[in-house]
Amino acid sequence: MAEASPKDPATLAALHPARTREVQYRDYKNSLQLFGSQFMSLKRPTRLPEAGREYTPGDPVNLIDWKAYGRLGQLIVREVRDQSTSRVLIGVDVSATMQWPSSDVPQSVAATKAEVALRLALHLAHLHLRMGDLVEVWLLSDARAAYPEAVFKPRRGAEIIALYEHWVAQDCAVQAIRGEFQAAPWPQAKRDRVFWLGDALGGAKVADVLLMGKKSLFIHVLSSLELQIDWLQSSTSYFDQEAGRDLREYQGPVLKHPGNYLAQLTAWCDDWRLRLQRQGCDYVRLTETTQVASYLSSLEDFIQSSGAGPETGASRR
Amino acid sequence: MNFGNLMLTPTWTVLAASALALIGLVLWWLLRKRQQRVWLPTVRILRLEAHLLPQLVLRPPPLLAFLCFVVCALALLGLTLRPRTQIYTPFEPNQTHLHLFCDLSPSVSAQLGLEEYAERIAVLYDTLQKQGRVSLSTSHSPEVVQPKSADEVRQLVLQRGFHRSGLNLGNAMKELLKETTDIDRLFIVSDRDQHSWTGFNWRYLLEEMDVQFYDLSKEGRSGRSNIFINDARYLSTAEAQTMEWDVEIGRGGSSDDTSGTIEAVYMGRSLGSFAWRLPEGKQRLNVHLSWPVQAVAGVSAQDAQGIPLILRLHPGSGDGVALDDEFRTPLKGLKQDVILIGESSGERLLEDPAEQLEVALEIQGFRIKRYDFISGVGPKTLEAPLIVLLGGGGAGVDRFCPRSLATMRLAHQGDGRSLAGERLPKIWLAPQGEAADYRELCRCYTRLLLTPDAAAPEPSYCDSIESRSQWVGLLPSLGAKQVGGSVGNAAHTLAFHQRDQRSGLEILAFTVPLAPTPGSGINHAQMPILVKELIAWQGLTHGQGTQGGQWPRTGDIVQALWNHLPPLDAEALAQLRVSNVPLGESLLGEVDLQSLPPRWAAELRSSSKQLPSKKDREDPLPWLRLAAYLCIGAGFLEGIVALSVRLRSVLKAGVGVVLMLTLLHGGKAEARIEFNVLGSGLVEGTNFSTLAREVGRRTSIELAAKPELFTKLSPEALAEPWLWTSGSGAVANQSGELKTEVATWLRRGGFLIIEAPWQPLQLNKLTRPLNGSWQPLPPDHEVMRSFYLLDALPSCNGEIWRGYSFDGRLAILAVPYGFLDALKDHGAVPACKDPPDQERGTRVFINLIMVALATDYKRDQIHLPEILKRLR
Repeated sequence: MAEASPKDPATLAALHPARTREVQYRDYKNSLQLFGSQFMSLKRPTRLPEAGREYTPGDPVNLIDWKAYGRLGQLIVREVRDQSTSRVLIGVDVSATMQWPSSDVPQSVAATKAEVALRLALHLAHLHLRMGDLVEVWLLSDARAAYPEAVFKPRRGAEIIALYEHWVAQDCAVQAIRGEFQAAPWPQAKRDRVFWLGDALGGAKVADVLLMGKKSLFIHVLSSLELQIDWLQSSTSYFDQEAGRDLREYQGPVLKHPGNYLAQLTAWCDDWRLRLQRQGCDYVRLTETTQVASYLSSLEDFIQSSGAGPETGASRR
Repeated sequence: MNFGNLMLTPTWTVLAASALALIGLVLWWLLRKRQQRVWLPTVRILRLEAHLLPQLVLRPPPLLAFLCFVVCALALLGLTLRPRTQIYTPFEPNQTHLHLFCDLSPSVSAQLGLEEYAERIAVLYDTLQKQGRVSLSTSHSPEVVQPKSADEVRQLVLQRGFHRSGLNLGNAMKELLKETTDIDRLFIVSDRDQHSWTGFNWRYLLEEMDVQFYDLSKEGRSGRSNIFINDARYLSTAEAQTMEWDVEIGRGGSSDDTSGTIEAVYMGRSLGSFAWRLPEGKQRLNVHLSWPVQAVAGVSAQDAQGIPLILRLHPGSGDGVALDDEFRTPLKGLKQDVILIGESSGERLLEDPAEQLEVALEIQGFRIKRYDFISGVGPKTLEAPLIVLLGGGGAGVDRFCPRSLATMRLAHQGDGRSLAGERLPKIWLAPQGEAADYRELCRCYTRLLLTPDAAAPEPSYCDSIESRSQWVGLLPSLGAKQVGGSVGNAAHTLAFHQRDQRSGLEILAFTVPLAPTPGSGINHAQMPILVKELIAWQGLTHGQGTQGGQWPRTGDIVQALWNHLPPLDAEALAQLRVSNVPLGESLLGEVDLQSLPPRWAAELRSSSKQLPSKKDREDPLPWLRLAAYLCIGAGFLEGIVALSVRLRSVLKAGVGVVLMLTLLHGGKAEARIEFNVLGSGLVEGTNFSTLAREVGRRTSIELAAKPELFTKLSPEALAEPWLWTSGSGAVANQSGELKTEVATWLRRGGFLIIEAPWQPLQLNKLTRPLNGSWQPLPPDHEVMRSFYLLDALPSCNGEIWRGYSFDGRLAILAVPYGFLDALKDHGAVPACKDPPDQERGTRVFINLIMVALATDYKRDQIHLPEILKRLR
């Protein structure tokens, strides 16, 4: 790859985890929750078991259900209905295809897909941590693996920031933060919100991962060079070799031909969108050149749409 | 597959095609490896037709490159062709050209007689006639004849006979092959004489023809023994009564005791026969010949011109070459006549003004015919080459000045010769004594040389010539040239010389008596020397002294006679034909057989080596040249096409056109040094072509002959590296200091040369803005030794050259005179007391150029260790 082009701070290539959109008075005034992202109804909180959870150090002590403790011997925290913590799962694919553009690409970009995906993942994690949600960031490194194999469970936003700064100091190398992720088996339990960040070119079972969430979002991270192929040269051939499959190689003019690369890529992305929509999941396609504001808007739309869950009956704002 | 006589060789064709294919494969692989491949992961989602091998786009190749490839492939294919069958040209006698070259030099005459030679040549001709077309030439001339029969050959050889000049076969072949280029077989009929074969590289001819040697040498010693006359020296003095000659007899080959006689013959008359004996083992013998002078008394030196003294050797035995038994040499010791007309004052020798002159002339070998006075027209003036007239005795001009001379001059107005072809005599006209009547001398002078016709009256200006000084002053005005004395001072002139252009009559008019007198400044010791010098100067010496024979002794008839330019006249040709036999031919040295061409055997059989006819062999050089031109042209066109195709902008594409134009029309790069003259010192049209030529000849610097003139100081003038100016006016401001721009120019490296007129104070004031000093140039300054080693620079009227050093170099030079004026074409001599000559000025100028170009580069003496190393 040619020398990396400078990062435009307005794009995802320079996304900071603590980046928020401008807070509007209207939003603040109308916000229905001060802690937690899941909207709850204004009804009297019930003591339904699903509103309780295990006590984790740091929870307010006055929320402990001592009666349940007397019965069960376990510390259970009763949540206020109007303050409910979501369980958020963020899956990040940093396998080989996400490390593109590679060094042989003559064109320069601000960031690889893996860097963009990690930035988005840290941003989402930080966002939800601020909202009081429980966040798990799962990392998929092996292109042939179906599910991520390592997890990072931050507790505070400061951990995200520290991780981010360490990662940036190491030139955004995935290996720099690999140590923070612990190997863990893929959970089976559902989550309230699932985000998957990847290019869907590996072996990951994206659809299965997204089905784990009550509300899921597939952030299809691609590179701008994959979407805009003017940089392809006639004297160069472009190849890919999937594990177990034959070498595919095409000349630049062949790919540039109308009806070939761009048409098929668009169709493929649309296919993903339709498929996920049928599953009830959301889909958004981002590149390193996507404006942060556009991303935040998409995210807000998703969060707001995910606030009207069927069990809570919470109304949409 | 056949192409005329050429066929396609399957093996070579396959190999050539394989080679091309392999080259193509390698090129394809290299290109393929060079092709860039980039990983694009999203390719995996494409559903285009899948191929195992990468899909390459086929494009038509560039037309010219393709054509070049086709041409090269065809050329390669063509090189695989070979002749289908080896066809030998059927024997056609007219196609094979055989040439016989007959060596008729003197050494061959030692091997066999002329008749036998002719017979053998005729037999050889008969034999060779069956093998082709036979031509013949001899060593006499480069003419090639096509004899029709053996008899014609025989007659030709007999008619020409052996020549007396030597022969160098190498030169002869070179000249012969210049005219005759289609010889297939060359037969050299000669002996093994070393003189003839030396320097002949016959092997060089083998590339073009077959060379055979028809050996005429006799086996054994009988053909290698010869006695000859090598040299003849005249020993007698001019006044001797006998003619003594020392004749050297030489021997080549054997060393047996031999004796014989030697006879001297002149004009068919025997002058004597002298015996000699050459002892055993001796190779040289000097024989002394002597006969009285009276034997040739009636013969004058003029008569003897062109008639040699013939020395004939009659050896008893052991003489191979008969031609060298006769040796010719010009007859020396014959006296020339001098007619001396001068009246004696008395009977005693001291009273005779011509006494010492006679003695001096006799010493030089002249015979004096003395006339005290003449009456009538005078003696026959063509009898003697020198006529001395001593006059001015007061008895009248007719007493000593023969009218016959004037008549002769008036009668023969041609090329300096008389109608009979004889040269007119030289005339010495001298006063009888110191008190001679110069009017008579004047009248005689004008009569002999200046009067337009016999009836013309004597000029009146002679009446006013009363003294020697007037006589000396008159002669130059009559057109005579000074002889003796010093330039610009005719007072001490010995004589004046004038030649009548139309008749060739020359007069040497002396201004002093030709006698040792205090007044003439000639003493007795000087007299004969003076006379000898004058005689030699006028070319009157003829065969005097003990010099060796000067008859031609031609070592190589080819150089002397063949194609001689300009063509020799009859006299020279006649002399060449009877030239003495050269020493090399007489010595009969032999060359080793190994270094000679293959010999033609006596019996009639084919030669051991036969080359195919030249016509069967094609010269591949034109084809190779064509292939080279094609490749170069293809490469050039490919470069042009590549430039025009790859370069996008029109401007860049024009580079190719410009390159082509420069290649086609490019001129030689040159660098010249120009004069840059500031001010009005030189006028327009001044040239320095002589100086430029000298500088170009002595150095590698090219100097422009035409100077660049700047009438005033301008940026263009200050863009030049050096400037010449006359005076300091052009470079000084009103206060007399250097102009600012000039000072800046000097600081930036300019070199200013100020010619006169200038004053030292002016110079000091001029350079006040700079930080330097004026100094006279020391002897070790670089100007003194940058090219020529000069001991000093030419000063002028006490003023020397001054240099202004600035920044460690000579920045301004002040020349005390008009240096450029002196060096220009038709330059004026500087107005100095001791003006320098052109050569000195040129040397100083060359040194100046070197300093201007390289300052004091020699001062670092970086080459000194190397020089010292060599000296050690």
